[in-house]
Amino acid sequence: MDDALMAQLKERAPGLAALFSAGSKAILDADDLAALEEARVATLGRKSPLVEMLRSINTLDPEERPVLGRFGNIVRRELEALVEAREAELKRAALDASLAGERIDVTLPGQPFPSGHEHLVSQTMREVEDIFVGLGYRVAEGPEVELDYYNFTALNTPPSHPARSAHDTFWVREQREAMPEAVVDADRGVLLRTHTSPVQVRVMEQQEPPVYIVCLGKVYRRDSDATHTPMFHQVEGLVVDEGITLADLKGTVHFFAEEFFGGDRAIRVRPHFFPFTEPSIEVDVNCELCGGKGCRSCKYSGWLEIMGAGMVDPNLYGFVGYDAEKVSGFAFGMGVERMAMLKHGIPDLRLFYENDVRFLRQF
Amino acid sequence: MKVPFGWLKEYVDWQGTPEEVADLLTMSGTEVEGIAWVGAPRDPENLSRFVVGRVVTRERHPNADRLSLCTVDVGEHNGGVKQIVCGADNFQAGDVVAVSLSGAVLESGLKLKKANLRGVESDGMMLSEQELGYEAKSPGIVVLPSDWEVGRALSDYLPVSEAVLELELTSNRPDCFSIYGIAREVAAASGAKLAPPPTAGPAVLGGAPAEASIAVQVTAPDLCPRYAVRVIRGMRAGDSPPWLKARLTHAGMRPINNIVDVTNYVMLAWGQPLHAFDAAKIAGGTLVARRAKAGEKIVTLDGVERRLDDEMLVIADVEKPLVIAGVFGAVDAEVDEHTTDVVLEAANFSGASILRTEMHTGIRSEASNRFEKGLDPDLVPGGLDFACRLFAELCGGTVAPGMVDVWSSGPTERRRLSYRPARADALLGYPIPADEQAAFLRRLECEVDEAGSVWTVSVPTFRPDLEREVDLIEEVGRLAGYERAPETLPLHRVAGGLTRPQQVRRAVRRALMGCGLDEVITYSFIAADALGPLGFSAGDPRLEPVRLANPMSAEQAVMRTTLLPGLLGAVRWNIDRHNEPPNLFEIGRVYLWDEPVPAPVHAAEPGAVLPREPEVVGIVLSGPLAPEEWTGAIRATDYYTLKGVVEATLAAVRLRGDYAPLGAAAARFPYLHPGKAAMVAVPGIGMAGVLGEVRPDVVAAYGLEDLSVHFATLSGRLMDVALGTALFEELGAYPPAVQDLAVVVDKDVAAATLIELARRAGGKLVQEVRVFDVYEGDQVPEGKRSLGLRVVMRSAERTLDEKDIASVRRKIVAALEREFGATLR
Repeated sequence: MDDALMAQLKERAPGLAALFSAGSKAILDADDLAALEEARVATLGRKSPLVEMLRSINTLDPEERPVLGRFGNIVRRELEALVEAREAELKRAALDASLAGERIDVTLPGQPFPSGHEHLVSQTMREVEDIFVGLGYRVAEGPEVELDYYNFTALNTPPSHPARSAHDTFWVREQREAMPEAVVDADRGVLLRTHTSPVQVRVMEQQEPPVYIVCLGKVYRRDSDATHTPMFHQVEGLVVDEGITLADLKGTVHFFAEEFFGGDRAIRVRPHFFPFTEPSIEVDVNCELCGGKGCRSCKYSGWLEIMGAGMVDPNLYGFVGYDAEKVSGFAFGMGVERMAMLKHGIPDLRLFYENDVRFLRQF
Repeated sequence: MKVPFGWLKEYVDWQGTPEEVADLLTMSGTEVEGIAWVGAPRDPENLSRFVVGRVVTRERHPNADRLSLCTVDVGEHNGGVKQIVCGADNFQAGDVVAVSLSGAVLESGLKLKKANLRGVESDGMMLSEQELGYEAKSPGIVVLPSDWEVGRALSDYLPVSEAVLELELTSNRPDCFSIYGIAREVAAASGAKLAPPPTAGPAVLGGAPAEASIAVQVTAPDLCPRYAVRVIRGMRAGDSPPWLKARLTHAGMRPINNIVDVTNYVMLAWGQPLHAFDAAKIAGGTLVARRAKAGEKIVTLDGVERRLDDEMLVIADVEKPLVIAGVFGAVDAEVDEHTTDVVLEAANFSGASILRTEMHTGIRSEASNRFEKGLDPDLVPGGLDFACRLFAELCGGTVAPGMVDVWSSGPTERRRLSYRPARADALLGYPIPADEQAAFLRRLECEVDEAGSVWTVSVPTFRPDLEREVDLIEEVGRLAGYERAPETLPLHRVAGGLTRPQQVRRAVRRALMGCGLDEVITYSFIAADALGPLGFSAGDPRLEPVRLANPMSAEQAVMRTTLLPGLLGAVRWNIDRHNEPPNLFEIGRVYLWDEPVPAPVHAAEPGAVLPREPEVVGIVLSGPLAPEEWTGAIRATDYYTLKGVVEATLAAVRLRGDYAPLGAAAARFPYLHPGKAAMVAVPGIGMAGVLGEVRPDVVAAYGLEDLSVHFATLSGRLMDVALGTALFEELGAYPPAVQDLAVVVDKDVAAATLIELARRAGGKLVQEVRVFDVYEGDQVPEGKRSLGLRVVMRSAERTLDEKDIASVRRKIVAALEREFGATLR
């Protein structure tokens, strides 16, 4: 009740004013819900002076009736509002008090919803796939047990090339034929692919340019130490289209390096040799660990070698029936584990195939 | 290949540092893996403390029999005569020696100080070859040539400190396997001036002509296009001079004696391998380059007897093979300390043949490593001249006039290629001015006829790798520097994307990870006996794996036909490392010969086949899926855990499986518990996999005693039918009605059958029937069990009333009773 109304009430109906003062005091003084109920009954109950007065309003002097009627109802509404407000206040205080007693150890661990982990090789391959899909490539696949023709011959590898030796390449024994252990030579023509490049040839045999593909998968080489396992994974990319240049290769590789390793990365392109590309290059990315100053990771060169690449050797087009004067292309290949090792600082390749969950769950 | 920087500089006028030349080589295609600094620390001040000295006096040490007390003149500006105590005894007063002064730091890191040795002061040290780094061990100090100037810095004569470039060479560049070849690369890449070839012959010839001492026959010209010898007489075998030992050592070869060292030196410098025969040991005075006889044997210098075959070339005399040509010598005709007359061979062998011989004998040598790349026959006369000069200078030999040269292939023509400079611009992606292109080609010793837009380029014989226009474009590109090429992206005309199977593979992986399983990748090859414990019956294609002809170990001898052994191996690895029993999955291929894939005719012999490589999803559970934690009990893993994982995985790719006992198929999965395994079928492909508990004896056979293991394998054919488009279904505006029934039936009535019947019997109002409780025990008769079925009903048109609900319930109960004698509990 605001001050103006109170003043009016005091002047016009001093009795009601007194009832209001006494009632509101009783309500506000109530310090629990029972006391409040008591105060409500005393102030607003059927037998309270206020209600009795309002009930007997007809017996009053007709002159006073409108004034008392009007002010009486105002006082009742005001008091009812006070009761409501006080009740809410007391309830909240009671709840506060009860909540204050319910305390848990919030530092105990939460209910676990254990989620598994994607193998780091799968993660890395997925990231690489997504980068190249974004560039408009498709993902091609091919057999792991492969013909010499696709793995070597059609990739311009001479018959006497050392990569074909039983020292470097796993050869497959003829189907269901017991061969003497000692007979190991390359002439039988079935091997475990040593790179993902044979998929390139298979794709080019199947379709005309333009070709924009990446192939990812397992490859096998007879090697085993901290940086070599007899099975590992490769990513290979191939583009054949009209007017493809070495500049396109450089741009693509640089884009990839920045997407994969993150940030502003510099690349360095060095000449190299591969039988299936001409010109051939190796690509380095600047070492983030030392900022180019030189560290153990980059063998103190400031550069990390990430891939071999080059312009598709025109001889390959001969194998698949493309016209080397009309189309040109580039190819690149990199080791998935090596990329992951560089990105995550993993020292030993063998960790990838031990499948220790303490390793798997780090990524 | 190791290239000592000082040696390289002898052949090319390079003014920069070793680091700069390393960078130049790396960026022009000859990768330098590193620079090794050998010898004493290289700062000039330290090097100035290594000087030439002359022993003035040598007396016995007053207090030690084994030591001598010397005075050594090291030159006025180095402090004149020093008193030095020395333990060696291979020298005398007047000898010129290598001295390190006090303060010098040796290769070993030792810093020399004035010292008191048994009561006598010693100021400096006379050095041995070991301390200079030229010999692994040397008995005494090094005595230098008497004409070396006393007081001069030792580094004016010897590489006291040297930078050795470690090169990784590519197999297409046989011309780079020599110091001179590398010098040529440096000159081409930098424009620096190349010295003339170091192959000048001996100043003086003498004695009977070479033909008087040796005859040469080549009966296998295909394996030996050129075979030439010269004859040197009156040689004195002995130690090589320090500079020669230093260079050989720095280049990675061990000094042996002056004759062998010269042949090695010339090979390193010029790239032509040489072989020195002791003329006295060649029976019949004739060398024959012939195919070995099948089964012929030779004892090589390492003392091993080798069996040869008729694809291998040997150099023989009239009696026996003396050398596996280009690869390894035998003891029979080697030079030794008594050798005086030498027949020196320089030959050209077929690279392919040498490579084959290396593979079959397992021998590789510095010489064969060069021959296998295919050398230029034009290297031969220079190599012989170069070595003959050194024999005359260092071994006291007299070189006989003439060379016996059997050159079956005849002189090599320079190859002539057409070259379009515009084509280079088009392939490299930026223009290089034509005159610049011509200059690059000339630096490579090509001759260029620049008339018109198609040039004619003639290629030097030492560059067999330059066969086509594109090979020349690469040369121009790399000499211009690839950093000059801009970076662009191809202008695309095609769209990228993943195929549906590729998307399904990702979704399956996500689903399995969502279930809490970790993905593994195991080796595709397994031990041949790893399949044994699985119990496949004879004739099962999984017992006929793809076998490797040359596995690295018995553990990795065959390609897997199932993922189970690999997954159990991964479980075991973790258990052995005290990790909690893991729950794993793998998506990978298995390799089967059951339906061989024919190879394209152009790619293989007719009839050649490849194995089938179906992709499979393997799941193995060996422990609880949620870790033990403080809020409550953990659910032990059982068949239903595994089934839940399979269901979740199929659901993630919008498939639903039907599960049935293995039945007759049990024989195909003998490694599974026959009563706790199922097969799962999927619409569109039929049987899509199996799942179940692995038999305890199988688990134990893989070294996992007392572990309960569950395994599922799903066919990759899922990928062809999965992830179909989902179609919208009405949500329904009216509330559902739920009825629970507890029905008692025979134990062997399958839950799926009851549910299916209840759905059918209940009619179209039934939206779902599911099992919410299974009970066996005292409350139900023996041989029976109680299943709690929750029936959810719903109408699309109205709220169901009591009558509807009662009617559905009645129909279901009646059908269950009729079909299975079910009673309500």
